[in-house]
Amino acid sequence: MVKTIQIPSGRRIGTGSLARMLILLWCLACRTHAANVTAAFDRLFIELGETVQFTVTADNAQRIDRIQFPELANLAGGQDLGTSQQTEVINGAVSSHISRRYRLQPAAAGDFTVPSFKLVVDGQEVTTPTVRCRVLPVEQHTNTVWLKIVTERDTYTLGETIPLELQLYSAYNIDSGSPPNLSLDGFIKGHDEKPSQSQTVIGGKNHIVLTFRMTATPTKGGDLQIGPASMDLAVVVPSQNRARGFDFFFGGGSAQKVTAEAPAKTLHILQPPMEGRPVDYAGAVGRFTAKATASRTNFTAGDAITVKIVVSGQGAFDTLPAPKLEEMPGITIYTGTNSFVPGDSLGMIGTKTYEQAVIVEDPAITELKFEPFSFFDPQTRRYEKVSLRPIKIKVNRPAVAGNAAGSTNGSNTLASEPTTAKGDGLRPLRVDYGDTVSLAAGLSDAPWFPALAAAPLLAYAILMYGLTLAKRQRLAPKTAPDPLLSRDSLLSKLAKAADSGDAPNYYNTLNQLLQVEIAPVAGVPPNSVNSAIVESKLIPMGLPSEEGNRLRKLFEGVDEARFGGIAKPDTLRAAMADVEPALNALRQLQWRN
Amino acid sequence: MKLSGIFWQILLATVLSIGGWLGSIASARADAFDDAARLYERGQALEAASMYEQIATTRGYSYALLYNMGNAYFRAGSPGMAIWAWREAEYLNPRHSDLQANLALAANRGNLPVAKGLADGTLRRIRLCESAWAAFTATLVWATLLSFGRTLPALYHKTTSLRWLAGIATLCFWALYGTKYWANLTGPNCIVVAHDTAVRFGPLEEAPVAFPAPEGSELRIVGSRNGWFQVTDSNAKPGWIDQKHVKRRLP
Repeated sequence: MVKTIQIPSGRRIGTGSLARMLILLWCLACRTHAANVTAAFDRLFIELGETVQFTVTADNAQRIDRIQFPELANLAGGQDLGTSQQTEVINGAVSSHISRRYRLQPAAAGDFTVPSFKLVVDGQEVTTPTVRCRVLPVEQHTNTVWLKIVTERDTYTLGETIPLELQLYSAYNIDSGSPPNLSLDGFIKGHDEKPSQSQTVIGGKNHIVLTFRMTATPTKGGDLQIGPASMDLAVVVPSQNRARGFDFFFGGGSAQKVTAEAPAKTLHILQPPMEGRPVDYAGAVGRFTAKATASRTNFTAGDAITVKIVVSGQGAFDTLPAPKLEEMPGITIYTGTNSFVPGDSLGMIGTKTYEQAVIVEDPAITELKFEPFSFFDPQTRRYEKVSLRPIKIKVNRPAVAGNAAGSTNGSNTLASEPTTAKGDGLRPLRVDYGDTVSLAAGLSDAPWFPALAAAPLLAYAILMYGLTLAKRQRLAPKTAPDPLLSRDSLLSKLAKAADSGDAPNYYNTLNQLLQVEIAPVAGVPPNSVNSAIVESKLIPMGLPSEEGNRLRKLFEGVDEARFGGIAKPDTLRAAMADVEPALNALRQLQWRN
Repeated sequence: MKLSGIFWQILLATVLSIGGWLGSIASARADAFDDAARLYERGQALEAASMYEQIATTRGYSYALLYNMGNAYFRAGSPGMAIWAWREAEYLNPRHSDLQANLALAANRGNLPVAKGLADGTLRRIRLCESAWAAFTATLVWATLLSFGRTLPALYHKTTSLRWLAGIATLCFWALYGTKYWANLTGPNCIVVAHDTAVRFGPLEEAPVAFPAPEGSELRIVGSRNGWFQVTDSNAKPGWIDQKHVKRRLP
């Protein structure tokens, strides 16, 4: 049963929840990370007359103490939507975000920029980044649901990665919809994002905007068309007799199928100019920088090192040629690997890392040089050349053999004899031919060799078995065993004699039984078995003393009957009780030996 | 008496002839071996490797021949063939430090996996026949000591410690032999000797690449079809490789 505590607000929470809240508060109180502040518009392209939502978010923060929102020159209207806070616990890690939202309406087409401004978060002053959205000229829309294709510009360069958006506007709530169909003839479709939903106000009416963001790369020059595009969806049309605002927020009304269509948009794709085109230009378009590093710069000749080239920037990384190390005598370059880490969801910006294993065998080499690579910058409309700075290295001569088995820095490179050293690090040749040997599978490689190796143990087992058999044969009677002298028949005869009180017959049978049973155990002829054998043979063989006493008692009975008087029937029955355990003990003794 | 003298003369002549013939063989072999070394030192590594191959064909293999052949191939720019020759030499003398150094060097240069751990490292230093004969001998000693219980009881009681020692040694040697035998049974048995080749998903040139096979990498052949070997790498990743691109280890 969970105890509950009544709190003033009227909400009831369990003690477990209270404990979790306290832990959460404690975790939050203990946080020492500096707040990370970001600022963003919910859409990158809007039409003039629309509103756009601007959000400032502080991660790892508890409160925004003060905010100095800047004066915006081309602002037609604005509204502070207030502050919201969100706390998440993911895999035990607590994170909290606090956001301040504004609804803004630009006053003119063009770039709408919110410059960097200061705010105080948890007592610390932080600065937001400058963010920008593009305000497109107003278009006339007669429908309540429409689709449009948006690009930042109308002119691009062949090979340039074009970010584009497909925006669906709806004055009604959207019930369901299929993915949009977009014709991209002449383009290669790149990455795409999951659609995002936002709200805007156009002419005083709320609209839902679904944005599908993706990239495309033109494959030829000239005028190319993106689109047309279409999208089937179902919208909820509010009923006539209810307040529209009520329906917008709380649903209601009837679902209606609609097809939204967007006309094709023509883009002018320019060829990169021939003028000033470097000979090594391979079609890369964008803006890139590069940096090269080596895993070690001071090493022994013959050691393998890894050269890493990191190319960062924005553009078509796929068409970027792999930066190359300059080949020269004394350097061996191996085929490398590359990896790309995108810096945004569309892969427009990012970092590509190339890694190559290199072996420098000539100690005279002092630097690793790189071949420059070129790209076309679509913003400046110029070709740029990236020349990587050479890496200075110090290549040590290998130590002579006998001094060290490896180089001083612990690598796998091995020393070579001065007589054979030609930079390859090989150990010297053998002088004597030695004995000619066969490389054919030897005796020990044969699959049956394990059986041969185990043969001594097998021989030992056979020997033991043979010895046991021999002993049995030695002790066995020379003639066939008399069925009347078998244990069972003698025991039966003994029991009858005890029951009938036939003492002479009883002791005679008992004597026979003891002789027949003891003789093979002690390894003596049956007629030589007497009470003395208990001490001389059976006890040393491991017969328990208790069983020895029992046997002695039986022998005494036999002797008394033979030399003394006649026992009573009761005595015979009592003596019978000792016979079976004594015989069992003899059998066990025989097994053990 | 006269007949006896003729017999002895014929016998002496035969022995001398055979001795001379054997001596001339050894001398010719030594001369060719030295000539190959001379070529190697002059920088004619490929010619040296070819001469070592010729000696092996006509005179047979020796540890030194295989070792030198590996050096010549390595210097001639054929690390795959070099590793093949060194691995064969390793079969004969796995504890030679120069050989192990050269193998490590080749692995380092070719960015090949270096033998590490008990199965690949320590076990490589022990020949299968050594572990086999050790297991056999230990078993023989242990069985003999055990048999004293029936044959020489007095000696049996005096050798209790020795019997225990022999028993433990037998178990250890058998474990070593079993591990080595298993490693030989499942380990690589061919070496890639071609540049820039790959293991493919099927026995066709058109089949997609399963994984690259750098020259000198070691694979295990598990089957063959139409001039292709079905192989697995050290991680048991399967694929197919053209038979011309690998050299099989000698059995």
